[in-house]
Amino acid sequence: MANIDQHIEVFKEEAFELISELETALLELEEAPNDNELIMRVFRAMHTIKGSGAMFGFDDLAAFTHEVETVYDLVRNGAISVTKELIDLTLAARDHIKSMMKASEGGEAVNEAKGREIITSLRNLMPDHQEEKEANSSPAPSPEESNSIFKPKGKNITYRIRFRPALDAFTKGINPVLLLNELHDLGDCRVIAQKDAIPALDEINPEYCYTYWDITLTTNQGINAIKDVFVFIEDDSALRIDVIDAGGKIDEEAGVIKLKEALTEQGCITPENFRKTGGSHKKLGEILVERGDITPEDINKILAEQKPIGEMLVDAGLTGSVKIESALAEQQHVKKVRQRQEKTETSSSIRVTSDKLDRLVNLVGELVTVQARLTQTSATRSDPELLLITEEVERLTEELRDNTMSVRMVPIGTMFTKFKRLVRDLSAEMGKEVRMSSDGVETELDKTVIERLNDPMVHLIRNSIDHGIESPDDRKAIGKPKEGTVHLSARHSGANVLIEITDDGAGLDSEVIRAKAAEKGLIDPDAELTEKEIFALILAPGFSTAKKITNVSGRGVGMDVVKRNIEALRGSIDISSKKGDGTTITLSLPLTLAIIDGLLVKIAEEFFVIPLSLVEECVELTREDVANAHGRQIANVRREIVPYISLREKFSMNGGKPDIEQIVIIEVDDQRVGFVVDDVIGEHQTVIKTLGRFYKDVEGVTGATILGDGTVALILDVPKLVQNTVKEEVLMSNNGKL
Amino acid sequence: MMNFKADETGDTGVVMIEGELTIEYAHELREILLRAMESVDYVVLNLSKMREIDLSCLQLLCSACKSFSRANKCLALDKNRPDIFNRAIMESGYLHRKHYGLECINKNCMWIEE
Repeated sequence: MANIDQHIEVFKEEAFELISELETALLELEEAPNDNELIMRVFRAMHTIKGSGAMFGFDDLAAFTHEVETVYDLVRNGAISVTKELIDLTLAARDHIKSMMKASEGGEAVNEAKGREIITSLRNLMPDHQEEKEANSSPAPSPEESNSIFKPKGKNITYRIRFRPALDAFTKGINPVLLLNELHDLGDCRVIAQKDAIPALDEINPEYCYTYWDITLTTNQGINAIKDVFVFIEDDSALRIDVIDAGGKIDEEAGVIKLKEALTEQGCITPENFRKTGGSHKKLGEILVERGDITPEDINKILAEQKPIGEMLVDAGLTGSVKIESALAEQQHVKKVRQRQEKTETSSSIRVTSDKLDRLVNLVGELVTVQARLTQTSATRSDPELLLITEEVERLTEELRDNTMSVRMVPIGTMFTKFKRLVRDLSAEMGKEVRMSSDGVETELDKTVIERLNDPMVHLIRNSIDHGIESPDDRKAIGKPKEGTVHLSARHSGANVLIEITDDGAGLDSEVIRAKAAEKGLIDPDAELTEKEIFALILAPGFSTAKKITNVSGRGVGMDVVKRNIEALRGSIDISSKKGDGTTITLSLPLTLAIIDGLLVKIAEEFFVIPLSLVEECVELTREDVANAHGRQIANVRREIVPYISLREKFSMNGGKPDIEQIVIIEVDDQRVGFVVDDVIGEHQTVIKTLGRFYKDVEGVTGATILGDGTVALILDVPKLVQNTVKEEVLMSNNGKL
Repeated sequence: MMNFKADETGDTGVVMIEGELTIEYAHELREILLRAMESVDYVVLNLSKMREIDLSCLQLLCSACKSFSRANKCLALDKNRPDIFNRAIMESGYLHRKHYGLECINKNCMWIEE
């Protein structure tokens, strides 16, 4: 019994994954309604949910999904076109399936009337005869017929098929397109029609079939399944089936070689002729680069100017463009299949609950702390053997730490995909046309960061659509495309990830923001502020420039919460905008919240940690240097003036300064700033501990860590310290003016 | 139903197709395309009211493309391509994918994906 329960759990997990996949496929299908591959993705997802659902007793779910699947069966057969209405209904059906799944886990009860409404609307999309046909067919699937997630699948093999029907195929009632559709059902299929044998109008017999096909098919069904497709016409047709890939590793060789193979194997060109075109792979450039005669840049430049080999072959009259297209399609198909396979192989995984993962990270954190203690203890005892063991433990701990952290990293694309639906629904709700695009989806971030980033991101995207993007008519009137865009991008920058939300809407109006801020008493009406500082005012509590409040955004309680959430993640927000052109909001977030590499420093008897990723260098600060600066807090570092902040003064710490202090130079916002400390202890693996709610509003520190001997060291919030100091100085200079 | 009309200049004409374009009508289509090619230099094929197309007629259109090109004439598809045409050229493998970077010699190639 327990075994069955376990299977049901696996089904549920996989069903939720399929529901997510379904949403992605539907949103993509909306953009490319004729893409058969996407139609098949939707169909397969529905088919699997239905079949596996029936197998595990989710009969209502299976029956409902069956209705949607039926519609998509008609879509893939060309009887129904993909329309916005169909996508809307299928998305609603997808949400309903999700709520059915949640209800089975004890969630909110399903709105059955809504389900019936969706089914009726879907049935209305079906042509009448199909409806009748459906009524006669069995309503629920048998588990056996399903393409279940549990059904074992054979190995994927890629075949090259050249199919040439007999000239009189049409007159015998053969429709080759139906056979091609059958091949599509077998797997991932790419079909290219060869049209070179079709004569000119004055010679053609319209009842003859002159077209022949090159098909690249990846399937796990075996060669017999392919032969079965052609079984009734094989005597009259020319059919050749070759295995071209059986899931081997990706060929690292240049595409030229594969193109040559593909073309020569298909009999399009002889190897001799291919060599004549210069297609022979000599790697002359590599030899020249190795010898230092030319640079790789030179090669790239020349290659960019050179025509692709396919074009050269066509120009030389050695083969036709469709033949090249067919060979390229095969090349690309095999590459795609292999990449997909490699991805599947590398991402073969086991499921672990996130609780277990969190416990593992905590334990590694404890281990790192104990290891620091061991290092410290062994340093005080001159025992070479103990030192050796300590070094070994240190190395292993570091490796374990990095590995554990990497387990928690997930690609940000998982979050971006969810927002596509949000953008679609919001823009429809607001009568706007907005398209979401994204890049850098493979950028990885700590799982916890991604989870906690969701709400701020939702708010920022809502703001972009609600306040940023204009209505289609307004956009048209000012010469912008009717459809607005929200672009999400992610990229690494040192130990941080930068996430940008860019819209091409109205942009921020600094005058309006300034006036509003002055009205709300947030700034002095005469305050001198840069544009960046004015934009930052929208993050202040209680600030709102929206003319009207909608249920999407604009209650003026959002942006400060966004800022707080991002800062709680040790991140920062930067806003740039151009009136009329749009706004970009950049979130800078740490890769992980658990353990960082830090630089341990000491002031008086206290220890502090500065994130190592920010540290550029450490230099000495002598009393003589201080005297030479005539009271200004600046240091001359190799003839470069670097301002510094004395942390001893900043934190009002007692005790005398040493004769020689240390400046830790860090870079924040492209500016070099120094932090003066008494002593630099060295690199330290910092397990971040939160300070607890009593200290959550303390500015300048982001957390604490426990050192080897049990001492607590505060982790400095470097950007905040710099910002605060700049603010204080501006305030002081203003007061000075008064 | 299909017909061909040349404009007043005698340079341009439109072949209008309504309903089915299947093998039963293939001979008729061939004749009309031949007549259009003989009559004018630039022919627009309007398929907006077409309900069905099969492979035999796709072949004929391809044949017409070749003939027009050889005669230095132009056969272009009206911009209102019905979904049924797009689906037919995709299913039959007639569709040219833009991303392969190889352009058809015929700039008005009707098999290029939109």
